[in-house]
Amino acid sequence: MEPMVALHGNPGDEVLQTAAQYGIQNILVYGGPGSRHMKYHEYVALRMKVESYGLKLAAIEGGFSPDVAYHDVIFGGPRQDELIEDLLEQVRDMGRAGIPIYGYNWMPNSWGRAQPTIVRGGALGTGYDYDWERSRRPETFPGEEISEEQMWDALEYWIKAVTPVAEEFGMRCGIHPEDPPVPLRGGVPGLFRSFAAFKRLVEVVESDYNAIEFCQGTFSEMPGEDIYEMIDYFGRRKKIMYVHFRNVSGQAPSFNEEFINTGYVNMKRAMRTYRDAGFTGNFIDDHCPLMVDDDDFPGNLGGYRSRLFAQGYIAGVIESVKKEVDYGGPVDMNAVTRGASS
Amino acid sequence: MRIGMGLNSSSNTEALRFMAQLGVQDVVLNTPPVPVKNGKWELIDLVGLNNRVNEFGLKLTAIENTQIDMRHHMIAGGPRFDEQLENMIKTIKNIGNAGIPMYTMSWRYPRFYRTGHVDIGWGALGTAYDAAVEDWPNVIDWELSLDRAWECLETWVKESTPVAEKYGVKMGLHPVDPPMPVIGGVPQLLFNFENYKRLIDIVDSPYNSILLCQGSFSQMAGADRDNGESIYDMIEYFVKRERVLYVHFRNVSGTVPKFHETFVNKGHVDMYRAMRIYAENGFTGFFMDDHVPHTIGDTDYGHRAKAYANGYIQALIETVTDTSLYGAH
Repeated sequence: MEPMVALHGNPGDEVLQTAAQYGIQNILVYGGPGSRHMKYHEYVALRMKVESYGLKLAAIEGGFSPDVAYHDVIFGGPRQDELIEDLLEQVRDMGRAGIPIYGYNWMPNSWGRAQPTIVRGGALGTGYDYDWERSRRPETFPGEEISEEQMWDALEYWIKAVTPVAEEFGMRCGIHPEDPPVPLRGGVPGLFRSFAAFKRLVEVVESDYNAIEFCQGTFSEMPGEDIYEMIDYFGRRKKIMYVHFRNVSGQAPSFNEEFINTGYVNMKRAMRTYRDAGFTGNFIDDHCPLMVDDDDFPGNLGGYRSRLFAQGYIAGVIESVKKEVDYGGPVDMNAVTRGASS
Repeated sequence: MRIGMGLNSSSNTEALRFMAQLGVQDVVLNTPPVPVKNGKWELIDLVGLNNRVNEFGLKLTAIENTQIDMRHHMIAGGPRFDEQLENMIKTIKNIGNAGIPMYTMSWRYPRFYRTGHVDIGWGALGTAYDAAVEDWPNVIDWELSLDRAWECLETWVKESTPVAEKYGVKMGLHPVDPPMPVIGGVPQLLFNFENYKRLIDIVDSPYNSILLCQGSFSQMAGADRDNGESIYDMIEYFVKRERVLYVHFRNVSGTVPKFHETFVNKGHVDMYRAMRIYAENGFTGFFMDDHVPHTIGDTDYGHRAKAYANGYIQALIETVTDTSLYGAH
């Protein structure tokens, strides 16, 4: 278990040097297969750039699913085989370049939010409300009738195609949940919105290379699900490639994102659950609240200050849950005589 | 156990907003530029300072140090000893009347210092000290024996503690940093375990306490050896006796005569082990980052490095105690 940081494609020197200085050894870069073919030599160049700072290019994360060009892969259609072959060629290029993990998603509408929420001290967290979105979002594919089963068929067809390639090139592939995890957005079903959907996914092909990009934030947003149970279930089955370690106020249909230690999820307990399940992968900070006066960071949400706060917290929780094993767990505060120093 | 943070000037709006967003529970003002009027700080200026911090939804828990020229004769036994002692005691009364619950002070003269910086990895800079290249000139033009130095400290503690109790200001003394026996020709006192034990015995009161700069204690000779006087032993000793007000939670590579500062989770001290000792012994004060390394693109205040250290400290507090700083779970 180690910290990791996620950066936009072509990360610059300042952010790589920052990661090196703070000892965040694992780098995730957004990108991967899509309309703009990144070639083998470009992946190698990216890896070498990251490695020139003593860091490891541990994963590439992206997703072709919101790209309308891949419509027939996501829903099944006449160009399905041709487009899958195009994607597999890109997957092979990544794998040959020594990228160990590819995280993607099955979200034709990408991720989405409603209005932001003011969180601690005037910082802004993203917010979501299902009714708010439904009253505003138009049909994504007007005139098309899209069923969940049709999407599952297409997904299973893809998993059966990509998993052997991933195995051959030693690059684990895994899917990010639907964020927000709601049934329908713009007429498109949200396939990966529940514990059950991910159980179904990992059984399509039983392989370490058919895995999960475990966005703990999104799993925490799933209505009625127990986050610790899901971590334990998929952790023990070695299905978690890496974790988006972020926190939220509650579950769909309405929630907002929070600072890492002010949401409803007990992050200490979550980290202990990964440890006890034998998970050995990495943790990224992911979305962080927008802090006033912060410096722009080349990642998805949050500036340098907000992200480094989360990174410090992640480093502290990882170190603590590893070391506490030798002490038999945390300090039992009920057994401590309270002092009166303040 | 709570989370704190320090800054120099309450006019630093950006830093105060930053603290509010990070959930800082205790603000420390370090040598704030309060006007010195007839050798002391006045009530009206201190009330203004407190109000200013409160405006951001924050609590001003402690003032750390007054300007050094308000107290250098008092610390180093100069000819103006009596005058400075009297003015500092008046200042303590004003701090109490302004509703500020703690005053902490570095009992040292001339001042904190280092001999340079070192690259602690990929261009990050930590401060460094090496006794071999130290070159302080003599800073006092009067005689000061070690006995007289102790007499000054004992007088201060005996005179100020009853006043602090009456005015509700808990006081704590910070070690000399670097923890060396003589600096600039001035004999120093608070540079080892033994002398700190002596300090708290001068008056046995929580109003005569310690600002446990864990960094400075970690730099003391022997603090890195398992000899009964290690950093862990010192923390346990003083926390058990309820004489620690709050903690500067920072890390260093080693001890005097040569050391450098580093990231909070990188030095010779196992910060997790340290945090457990505070918790196990019933510590109820707060922890703050201190002297964070300078990293690329950061401000002079160190917003990025402070955010990292603050997040790390919050995680250690919460995980060691298995509680939430914000009552969430």
